[in-house]
Amino acid sequence: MIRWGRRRRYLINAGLQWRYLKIILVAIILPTILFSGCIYYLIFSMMAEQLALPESIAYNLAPVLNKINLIILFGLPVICIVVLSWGLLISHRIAGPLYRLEQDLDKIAGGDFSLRIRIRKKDELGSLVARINLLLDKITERSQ
Amino acid sequence: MRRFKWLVSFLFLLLVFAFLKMDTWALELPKWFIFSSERSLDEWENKIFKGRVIYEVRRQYPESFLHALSQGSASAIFYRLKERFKAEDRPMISWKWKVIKFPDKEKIRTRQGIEKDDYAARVYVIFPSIFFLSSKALEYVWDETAPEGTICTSPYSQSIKLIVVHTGKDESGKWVFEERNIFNDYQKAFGHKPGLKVGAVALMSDADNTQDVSEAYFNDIKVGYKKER
Repeated sequence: MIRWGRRRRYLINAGLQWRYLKIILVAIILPTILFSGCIYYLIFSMMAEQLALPESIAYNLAPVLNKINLIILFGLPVICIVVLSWGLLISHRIAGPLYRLEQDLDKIAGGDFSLRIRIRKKDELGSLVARINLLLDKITERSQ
Repeated sequence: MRRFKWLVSFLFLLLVFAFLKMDTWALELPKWFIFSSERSLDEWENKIFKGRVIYEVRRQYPESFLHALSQGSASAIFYRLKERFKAEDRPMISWKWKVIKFPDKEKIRTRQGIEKDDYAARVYVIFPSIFFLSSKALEYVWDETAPEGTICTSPYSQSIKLIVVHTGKDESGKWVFEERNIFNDYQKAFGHKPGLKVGAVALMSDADNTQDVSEAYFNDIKVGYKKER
């Protein structure tokens, strides 16, 4: 497999990548929000149950809750951006080689048997690309 | 046949449980608190806000009552009703109280908001919500200066309304009987009917903001009944 340079375009196959991004978003952010929401509610309702006095709840719990809400308000978009960027990178590691494979296979089918498919080291489908290149080597050897 | 027996046993147990539960409800409301012995406080929880107020049952033959002494502190005794009730159905609450010492609010220069929020005697009616910040509370207070009938919002929360039911020092040292309609008071204070049920009552004497001393007595608290005509 041939090493390649840095990525220039991160959105190479929007449909495929967006499907991955949706899965990542749902798989990471949704359970996190759900579970942290439950823990958040459980802890605060238990504390409220213990404090019981309305003034005590308003004085002790409400400011803490406001701070946490503020952290969530500013933190959640940051987390979403980080997760989306990470998801985009992950999805590109699949969508990128697939796109490259399609392009290069079209060229090979057009008769250019000297072409070898190149993908980045960390990209998925590395072993498949290696086998296709090996197949191309064998075909070239036979034809010579 | 065996299945049928199981079903009959289950229904029987269900009926027994329902009967016992009905019995509990019947016993619970109206709830009457008389502080006849130290054990009278067993069902009450101490809820500390700032420091501990001393609550104890005191006897002066033939009577006994609850004594509250705050020395720069604020804590309440809190009773969670076993069965919550609609204020509309059982709107009345009554109690007897006696104030011995008012917290000296003159010491506070600004006399604003939280710094002013000390009362020799308070009776709470609490409407707990599953979302605890939505819980509502009515506080009946005996204040030194604010006129009777004054309704104000607590400096701590919009969900807490204070109603001055007795004012002045004239009757301090004497037992005073109070009877209030929770449903009407709630409507006056919040501007709408209570959406939550009454779930707890609490008593407090506090002097934490003034860092002074407050002292009061409470007795014969009755909650969750209809006014007899």
